[in-house]
Amino acid sequence: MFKYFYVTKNSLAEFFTYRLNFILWRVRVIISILITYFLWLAIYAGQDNIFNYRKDQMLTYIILLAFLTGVVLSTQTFRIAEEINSGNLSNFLIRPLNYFVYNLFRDLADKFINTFFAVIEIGLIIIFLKPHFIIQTNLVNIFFFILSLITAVALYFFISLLLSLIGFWSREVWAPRFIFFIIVAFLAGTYFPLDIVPKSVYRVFELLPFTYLIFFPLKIYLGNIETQFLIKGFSVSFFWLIVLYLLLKIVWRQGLKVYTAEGK
Amino acid sequence: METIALKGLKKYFRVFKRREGLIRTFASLFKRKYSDVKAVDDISFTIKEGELVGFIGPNGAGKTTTLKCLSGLLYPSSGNVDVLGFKPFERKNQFLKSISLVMGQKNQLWWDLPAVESFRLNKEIYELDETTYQKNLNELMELLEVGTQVNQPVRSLSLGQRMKMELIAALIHHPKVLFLDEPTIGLDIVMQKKMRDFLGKYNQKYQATILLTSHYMADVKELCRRVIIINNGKLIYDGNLDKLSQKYSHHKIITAHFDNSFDRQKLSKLGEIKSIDENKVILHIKKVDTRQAAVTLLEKFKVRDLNIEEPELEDVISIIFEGKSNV
Repeated sequence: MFKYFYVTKNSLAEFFTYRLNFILWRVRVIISILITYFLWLAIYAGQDNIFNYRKDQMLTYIILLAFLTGVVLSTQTFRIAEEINSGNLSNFLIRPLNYFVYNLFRDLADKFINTFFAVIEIGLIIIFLKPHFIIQTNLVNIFFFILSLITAVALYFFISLLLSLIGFWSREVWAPRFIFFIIVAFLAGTYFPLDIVPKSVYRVFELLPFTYLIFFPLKIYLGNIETQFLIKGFSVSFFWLIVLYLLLKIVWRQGLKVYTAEGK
Repeated sequence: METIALKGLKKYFRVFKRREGLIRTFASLFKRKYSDVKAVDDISFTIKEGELVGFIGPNGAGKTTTLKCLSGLLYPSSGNVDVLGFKPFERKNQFLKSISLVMGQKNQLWWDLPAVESFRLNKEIYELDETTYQKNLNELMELLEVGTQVNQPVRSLSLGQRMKMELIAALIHHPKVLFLDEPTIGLDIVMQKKMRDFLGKYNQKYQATILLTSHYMADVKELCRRVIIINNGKLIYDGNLDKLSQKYSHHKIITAHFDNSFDRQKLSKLGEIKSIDENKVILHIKKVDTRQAAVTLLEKFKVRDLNIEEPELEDVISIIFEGKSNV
């Protein structure tokens, strides 16, 4: 395993050659969070409870999105499709390495650097906008929050990998990914906490993997540690993890069979 | 002991047939027609340990496909592939640690980082200890005459320097089997020569088995005693390079320098006149007639100098590629 840390190290070094790219990406993340932040601020004007969320809970939710986007949604896996289509995948297949683990450690660099900046930005937001930011101190909440974060990272990693492996069969990998971005933005809870929708719709959301990328960890952070909520949440997450993992194995094996190592 | 054994290898690709016209293109969104391309069609050969074999054929002959099957990148449609006792497509770590594939047009180096960072990563991947790594690196750097460029970002290197770095990255673990696909492509004459010298030395020093494709006959001529020629996915020739021209060309080349003017009519009766440059004439003459033609030339013409040669390798190869048997 340790040999892959060099991948993280090189990926980090690579980041600094594309500083402008990275800065603009951060700007994008922050702007989208600020928009959501001010939107909710306006909705809460004059009242303190909407959809069972207090104002400070809602604003904390939105601000922490920056952190979760960094930890969970940062990925370089879209490069896989490019590597498959350009034939550069060959350079990985020819070496004794596990391509998935390699990608995990490449993502680690991405997550590390995005999270690092997210934390600074959150600090700035709290200093300048002075929202009532909830700091969770209950160790049980923090424990389950971290556990749900790890689950979320794995879920997102698996789904992203699967999407990139489409590259084995089609050159048009950006369309599915784009739809995926929109689905995640909506169904993971990056615009609003998912449980403000009608109960019947939320029942469906609960069964989808997307719910557990953002909403579930944040809900735990904000204080929801009802046993039933946790058991249900983690069971559905683990169910999806197993399904996605098996699917990945099959798709990867089939993909390699049709891989043509083009361009050489 | 055979290092590489290939038996009845076939690799067919399914290719999507595009149709012309807007309506048809649109229709093909729903119903696609495919056809099979036989990239490699029933090829067998074996290569012994320490052999350096040239693998040649025109563009699209199936060379690269074969190399990819041998290195485990492609899943063979049928046939038996055995390299070092492994089935390449299973891509066992033990197998991958013993081979390497170098592609002249693809790089594994991290574009934005100094090459040495890529070497370091490979050190970790191939699980080399520090002393082995340093020893191998220094040897390779010396053989390839590489200096401080290893500390420069790869993107700032010239093509030739980059190719050297690619080779170091590919050889840092001292593979027993090396597949090279166009290693000299795009390099200038001097660099080509250096690359060839290096491959020759590497082969001898480490008894590495090397299979090499190239479009430059100089590469093959200088490095390989044995060549394997394929065309249209089929094996055409497998054997000694020297015997190639004996087998495939039915003529010899006579170059004659005349003292003064000569009778063109009489000369053309001996064989085909290929070129006339003042008093120098190049004739293609059937092998069986060569002796007689030389005698005639010396007796009936005023010849200052006479030279009899086998045709150039390039010519022989193009004869084979075009499927003609006589020139």
